[in-house]
Amino acid sequence: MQLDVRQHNEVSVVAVAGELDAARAPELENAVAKLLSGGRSQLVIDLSGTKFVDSSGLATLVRLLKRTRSGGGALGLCGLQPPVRKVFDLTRLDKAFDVYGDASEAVRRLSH
Amino acid sequence: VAHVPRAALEDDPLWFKDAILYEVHVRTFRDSDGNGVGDFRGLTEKLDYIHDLGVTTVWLLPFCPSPLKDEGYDTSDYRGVHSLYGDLRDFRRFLREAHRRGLRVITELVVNHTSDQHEWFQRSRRAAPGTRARNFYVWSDTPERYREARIIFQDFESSNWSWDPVAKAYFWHRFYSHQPDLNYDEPAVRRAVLGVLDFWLGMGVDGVRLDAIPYLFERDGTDCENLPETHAFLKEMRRHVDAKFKNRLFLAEANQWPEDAVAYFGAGDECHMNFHFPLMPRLFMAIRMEDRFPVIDILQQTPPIPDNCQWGLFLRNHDELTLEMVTEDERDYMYRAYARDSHARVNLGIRRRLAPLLGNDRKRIELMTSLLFSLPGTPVLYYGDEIGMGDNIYLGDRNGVRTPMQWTADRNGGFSAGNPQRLYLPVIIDPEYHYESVNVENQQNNPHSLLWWMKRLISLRKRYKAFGRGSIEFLQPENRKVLAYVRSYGSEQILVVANLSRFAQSVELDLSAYEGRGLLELFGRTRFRTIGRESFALTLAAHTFYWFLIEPPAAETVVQRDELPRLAVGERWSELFAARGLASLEAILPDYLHRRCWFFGRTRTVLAVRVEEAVPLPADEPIGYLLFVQVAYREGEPERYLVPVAFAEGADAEAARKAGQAIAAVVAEGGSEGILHEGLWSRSFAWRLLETMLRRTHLRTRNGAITATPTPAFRPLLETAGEFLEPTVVRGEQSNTSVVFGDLFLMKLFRKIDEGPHPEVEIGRLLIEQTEFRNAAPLASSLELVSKDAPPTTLAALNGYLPNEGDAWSYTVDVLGRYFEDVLGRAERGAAEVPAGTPLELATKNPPELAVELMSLYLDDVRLLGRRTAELHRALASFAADEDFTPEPFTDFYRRGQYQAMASLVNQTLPLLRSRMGSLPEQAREDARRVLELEAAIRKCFQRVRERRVNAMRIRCHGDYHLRQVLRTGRDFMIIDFEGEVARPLGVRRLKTSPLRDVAGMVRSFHYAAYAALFGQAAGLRPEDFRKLDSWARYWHRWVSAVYLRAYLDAAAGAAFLPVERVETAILFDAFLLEKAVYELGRELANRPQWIRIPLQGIMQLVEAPA
Repeated sequence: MQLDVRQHNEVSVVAVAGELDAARAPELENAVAKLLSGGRSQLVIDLSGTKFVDSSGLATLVRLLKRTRSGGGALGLCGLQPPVRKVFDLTRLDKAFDVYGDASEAVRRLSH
Repeated sequence: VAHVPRAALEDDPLWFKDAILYEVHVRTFRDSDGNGVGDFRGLTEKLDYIHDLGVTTVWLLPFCPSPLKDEGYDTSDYRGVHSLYGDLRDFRRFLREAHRRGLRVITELVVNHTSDQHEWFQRSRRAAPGTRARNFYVWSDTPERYREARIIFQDFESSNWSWDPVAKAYFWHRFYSHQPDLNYDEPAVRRAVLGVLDFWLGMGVDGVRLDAIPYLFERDGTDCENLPETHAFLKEMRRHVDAKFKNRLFLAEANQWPEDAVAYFGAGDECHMNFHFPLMPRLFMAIRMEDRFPVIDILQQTPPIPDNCQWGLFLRNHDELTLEMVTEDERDYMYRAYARDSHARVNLGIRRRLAPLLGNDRKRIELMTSLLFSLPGTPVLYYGDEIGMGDNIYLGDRNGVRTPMQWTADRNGGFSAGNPQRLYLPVIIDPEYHYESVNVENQQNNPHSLLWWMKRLISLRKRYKAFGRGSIEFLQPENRKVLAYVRSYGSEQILVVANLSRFAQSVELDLSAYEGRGLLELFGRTRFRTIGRESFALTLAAHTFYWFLIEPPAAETVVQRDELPRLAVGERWSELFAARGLASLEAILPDYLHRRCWFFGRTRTVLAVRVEEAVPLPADEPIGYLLFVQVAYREGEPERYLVPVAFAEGADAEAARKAGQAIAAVVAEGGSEGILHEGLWSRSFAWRLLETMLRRTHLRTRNGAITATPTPAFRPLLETAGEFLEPTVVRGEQSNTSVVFGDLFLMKLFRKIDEGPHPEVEIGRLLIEQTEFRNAAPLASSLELVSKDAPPTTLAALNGYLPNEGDAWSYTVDVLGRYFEDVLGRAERGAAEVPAGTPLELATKNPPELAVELMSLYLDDVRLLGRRTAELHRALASFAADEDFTPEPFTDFYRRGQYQAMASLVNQTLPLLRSRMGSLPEQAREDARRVLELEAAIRKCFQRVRERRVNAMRIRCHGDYHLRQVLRTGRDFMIIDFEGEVARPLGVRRLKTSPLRDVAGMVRSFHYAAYAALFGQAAGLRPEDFRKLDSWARYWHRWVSAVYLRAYLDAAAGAAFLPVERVETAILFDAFLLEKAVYELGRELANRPQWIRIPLQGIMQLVEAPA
């Protein structure tokens, strides 16, 4: 898995490439934690390069969502590929997250 | 003198400990006749205001005839009322009206001295030396005696002796020279004073403030204060009053250091109450220095007082903020801090009201008032300070804090209709405190005003006896800017934390003595985290404070270590589950079951408990067991329960016990000891159980196996689940035990188990596998006990967990709290226009603009909820392939059965209501009588179900649908708990019915929420306002129900489960609503009589609505 962090004004976009599973989820968690402790509060996780999310990946995303929200920030998801979308659909977690089409839409919506 | 009845007053000699005093001068409050001076008729007019404020006792400043050279502290006749204020009849009427409202009245007894106009003095100065008349006062030929006595009014007097040209002698006066001191060495004076006391107490006055009490006697070589003779006479007065009257109060004014002031309590045989003078300036110092030291220091120096005595506490009163009881350095500090303008100083004090003293800073006013109301003692509120009135330091003496009460923005602040130039003192027109903005009317209409805040504070204090009667223990956190203490009385413990600083502070409190107990913030009824062993960290914004109730330990579940039953084993705890060990386990289980809230047999007599089987988990090296327990009762059917157990030692064992999870102590032969406890409470046990549900694993049992059935679509997620999913047991569950795993899964373990399909799993599986309905928690797996010779028994369901913002019930109660706050101002002006008509009729109308304005967002929410409800029903009706779900017609036969059930519910419930009438809460009895009178109308409503054929289908439903079964995810609602009413047998819970039953359940839930919010679940509402808000609660409930119903009917339109004809829908729906309300009535009669008014009102509103 590779992580790519980019800043679009106040919004930070973390692009995840590869599988989000037990081996890689901690890396994502660390990266986002670093952003949060650095004062960034508007976050987007771009999953367009991810074809597979397992339960630990999902648990990590939920934990990050709670953390961001409790700090008054927002965490959005974008670029859900069909297998990943199916997981969110199944778990109804799409109702808990703000899910956007792609990164530029997410950045636009979080900028307001 | 006619006696004024006191029937409305509580018969308790210690009433003053729970009292809140309101200090007022009749002159300042309300002028009824336009002569510019307040009077008793005016004061009587305003009793409703005082009562609504919530104070319990009115303390009246002097009102007897007087030349008024010293505010009436110069009495010229002890048995009358000054003509400016009315006459004795007016006073008696005032007293009667106060008592009728449950308010007590305290007056002043100013008997250290009289006015020089009093006939006693006029007689005395002319009488020959040595006669009794002459001896009424203290005369001397020289001004040299008693030189050690201090001069109190040092700005006005240079000696305590004045020359009287008529008597040709000096007379003694501790105050002004027109106030000669009475001579208490003369027995006739003492008799006369007792006579005055009898006069007022005999009329019904509840107590007297003893003015200037330390100065009664004079003796050479002393400072003439606090003399033994004075105390002896006080005791005599007390004996006299106790012998003649009941529940009367002596309140001493002894402006002294605590160790001297305490003397006025005697051994509980002098004064009941005494003001704590030194505390007050130190409260002001503490907040100015931002240091708790002055407060703690003075309270620690304060000696203990007898149990039947109490300190009186105040921030401000009619006098200057006196600085006599501080050191010179402190005085200097106080002057610099609070009275830079020398106009603000008088005598040894500061003549300002509370708001100007604190820079008119609302936060500091609230902070100081919160201390006044939470430190040990009875608080005194000075009139006008509840609205933050200003003062006028350019008026002479202390008149600046004695200006007219500000009622409205009208002429003279609504105090008087007279000529403004005629007022005894001008009203406040300082731009910052102008009566046009600072007045009662403005603040009554604004629920966020200081007045409303005061009303809430007062109401809160009255709810907890610890404030008035409790002990105090100071906490000593490192941060000295934070003052923290615990008030305790019986089982009630309240933690007060106050930030004295003008900046935010953080503090670490050592609350280890309260480990395991919850903290409930009282203003918002917000639950804080449970107190742990480590120090409790809190942050406080500038000048904020918290009042926390330290919630009582869950007494029924936490068992002391030495009270736990003991089970002996040989070497290993697991021997308990061998055939021989089970008997000892079975012997202790009945007691344990009775302590668990999921045990349904708590009110039945248990004959025997048998452990049918103990299934080890995991099989090879068990860390716990799943016990299948059968409970046999003396009457009725036996029940089966699932009891998972695990074993712990050392610190884990102690933690399990403190969490109320211990079952028994297990003692091995070697003497080592551990605890058998609720299994799911153990992390590793919970994880093992989850593991069995993730994959298709089996646990072997005697006749079969325990098997998991994962939802196929969930398998990839389940297979990757691991121990990174931290288990947390959900608190407050009633009939099941739920564990959340890492915010991803929720395991619901059923405790009372039955053979046959379980609706939770059955419906969950249908929704996720066969329908498009997405607003329910998704079923991920289930756990069943299967055996060769019986249908499977469902043990647990595993659902996807949904991050949520709480359930719709708490959300609704919150919304209602704000709604009631918003309408409080309106409620002052009148009742709501509650719409008429049945719920269905109302659903055809649009809510009026006012309703939309007051509850717009919530109406959007219930519209969405109505739609989601209809979608759920459509989904449940959509699956025809399984006969358990196939819709069936609402046949005549079924309809008759429904009617029979409704009729028999009435037959059971109404007689029960009749028989319980005597034990119902007072307010509920009227409603109960009305409902009993309505029996015919209730039956008629049900009979319509029998008489009219219904063309509709019945389907599987939610079965126990209400606001707690709905979670909020922010933008949407998720419906949970498809298990039906747990008290009923599984088979009954799976019956098909009209989904209008679910809809009726939700509408009843709205009704419950409205009243639950009113009855104290919502923050900041006072019981005093319930009556005013009642119509507004109905207004809310009716319109919310109408909007919900309409959204439901629109979204369900055309569905086969809705009757074709509107009138059939109406008949069914009304009957279901009424059935539900009658059912609730029976349930509340059995469990919570204090809630009974909700279903009673529900029944009345349904059957009394014009058809």
